Amino acid sequence: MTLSKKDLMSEEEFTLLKELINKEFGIQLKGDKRLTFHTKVSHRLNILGLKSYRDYYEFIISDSSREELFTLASHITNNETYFFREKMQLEVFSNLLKGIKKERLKKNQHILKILSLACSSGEEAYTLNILVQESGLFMWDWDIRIIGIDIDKNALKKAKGASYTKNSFRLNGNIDIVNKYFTAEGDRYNLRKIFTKNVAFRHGNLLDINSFTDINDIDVVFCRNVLIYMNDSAISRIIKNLYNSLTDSGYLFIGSAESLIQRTGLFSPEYNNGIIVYRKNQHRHCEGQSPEAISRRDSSLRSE
Amino acid sequence: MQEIQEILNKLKDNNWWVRKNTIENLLAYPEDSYLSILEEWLRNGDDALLRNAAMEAFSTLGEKAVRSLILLLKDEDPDVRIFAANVLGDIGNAEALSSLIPALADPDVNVKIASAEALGKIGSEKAVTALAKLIGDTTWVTMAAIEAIGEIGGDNALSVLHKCLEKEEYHGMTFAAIEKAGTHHFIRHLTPFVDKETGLRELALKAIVAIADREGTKPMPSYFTSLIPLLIDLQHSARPEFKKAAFIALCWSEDMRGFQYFIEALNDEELQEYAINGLFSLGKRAVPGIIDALKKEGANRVILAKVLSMLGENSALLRFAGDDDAEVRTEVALAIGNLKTPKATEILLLLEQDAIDEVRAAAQLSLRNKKDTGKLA
Ligand SMILES: C[S@@+](CC[C@H](N)C(=O)[O-])C[C@H]1O[C@@H](n2cnc3c(N)ncnc32)[C@H](O)[C@@H]1O
Repeated sequence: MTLSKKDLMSEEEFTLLKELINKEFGIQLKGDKRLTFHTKVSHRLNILGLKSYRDYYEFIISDSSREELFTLASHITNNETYFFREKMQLEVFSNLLKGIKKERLKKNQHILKILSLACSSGEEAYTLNILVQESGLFMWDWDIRIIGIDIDKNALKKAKGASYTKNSFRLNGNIDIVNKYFTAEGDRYNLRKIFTKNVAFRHGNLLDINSFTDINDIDVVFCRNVLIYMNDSAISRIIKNLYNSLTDSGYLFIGSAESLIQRTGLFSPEYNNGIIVYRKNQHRHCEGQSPEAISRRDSSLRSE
Repeated sequence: MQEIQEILNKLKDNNWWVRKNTIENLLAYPEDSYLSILEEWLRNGDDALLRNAAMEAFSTLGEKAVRSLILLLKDEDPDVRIFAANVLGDIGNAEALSSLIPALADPDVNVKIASAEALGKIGSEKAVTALAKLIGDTTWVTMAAIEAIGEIGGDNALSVLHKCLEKEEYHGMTFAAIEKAGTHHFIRHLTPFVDKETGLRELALKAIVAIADREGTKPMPSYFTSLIPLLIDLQHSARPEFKKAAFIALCWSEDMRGFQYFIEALNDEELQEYAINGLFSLGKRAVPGIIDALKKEGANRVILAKVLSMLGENSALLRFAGDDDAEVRTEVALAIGNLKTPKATEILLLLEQDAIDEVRAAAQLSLRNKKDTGKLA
């Protein structure tokens, strides 16, 4: 039995949809992935009662609420995530907390602000919350705020529910983590209430500056495993948004397979126990800055 | 002039971002005002900083620098000539052809190689005959020539490459070149190499798969039948490029022995597309395995559910109505709509109350369809 791609979707239809996603969300679908696309999206045509992907495209662009555009994006993206992903990075994060607290105290502030961008179903945001609480550094009168942002409304719904299954872990038989932070209920693991407080989720597109409304003065941004799917201009836009949301002494973590080296004058890499953490180059605004201003803190890039 | 000098000085900054911006600023000025200065910097072999700055500038200036670079291709310093050839290749402007072809006879080996590579990048068939003359020169030069011919492609290139296959010492590089230039008509010349138990099997297989994949002309499944043990062996190869080629061939083979590899590859963005095809090509034979896989941790359950539904295995999907993934539940809701059993209706009524809008919408649609077909009957 063989499957004919062109019976499912013409090349032209695929290009239309692919370019739409690329333009709106920065997501690049490389190569001819019509089958994959079809397996992820065909149910939308059924639900909407549409006959072809061409009709689907027309439907999306004539939908002024942009709901369907977001639905499409949420289906074609990879939502894979799990608790305690990339332990080495998380260790570095935990080690940075002391210094972050010091910076805040210098300013007489008792607030800690963290972003988990492209948070999918929330495992990363909650992991960070667990680590912050376990550090014991931010007790009593500290205001801890961890915000997760994603384009996928269904993933966010799951995040808010804080109820997971074994798919949200890579336990390899070690269930200590689960016992410590979750209560088991059948095949579900519900995150203990104490670890869900401080965490909020919102719907947004990382390319869109409006998604960052009221988000500023952030201490740490996690933006992992999403830039790999993006085109260059989208990455630049996202980097600007991250730059503007971080506090001057803030930290940016991206996925270990991703790199900003020689991509931006806004951030410099810093090595911490073999892990790269990005720091802001100090100049006030990311637009219209003079190259000289950047160079003052940017010299570490030269060696790359 | 003063202004230009100031801008040029910034090219020596130790920060790449500053240099990058500076070059962009330069573009606003007429090239006559700065190119000769950059040429001089480039010739100044004693000052590495100046030379690097000039190289970086030339590489970014692109078209504007072509004339200068053509001149530099005749510079007395071979390093400058090599650099000029490299950048001309990167720019890819055909204007450089008539200077690069003679440079294939340069007394310096590295200039020859750089010129061959540049011609490969420019990709004009006019260069093939000149490049073919280099085959038989030193190994490095021959290698560069064959590679360039592969980059250029076309009938003439392919007949040169076909000849190269006769010589054992050229095999490795020639297969790589054929992989780029080959058309499906050429596959028959490669098949004998796959059939033989030699170290060339992998290279030939990789070339065949690359050509067929690019042209959308995959060989018949039976073409691969005798190769299945090799293809499976290569799934453990340390060379990712062989592993990938063998995987694609396995997907085209419609052979059940590939099943477990298809399932694993559903989580690999690069292989997913082939794996879906491979799974689907197995048809009903794959169904029990897919159901098993759906129950396992880490499987790509959305795609698996969809493949089941595309295979018409709607009742098999019933048991996944409680899946944690909303997309799987949506697929279930849509697929079981045409099952006439009370169980299916019962599950649809449950899914109609799901927390996720899309699942509810799918269940409602199926229930509505059920009613309509019920009425018709
Ligand atoms: C692979 S997950 C990463 C989850 C988590 N950060 C981690 O590393 O485990 C990628 C997520 O990026 C989201 N995403 C993709 N493009 C986005 C965009 N333009 N704006 C916001 N989220 C986006 C997807 O919806 C998906 O949930």
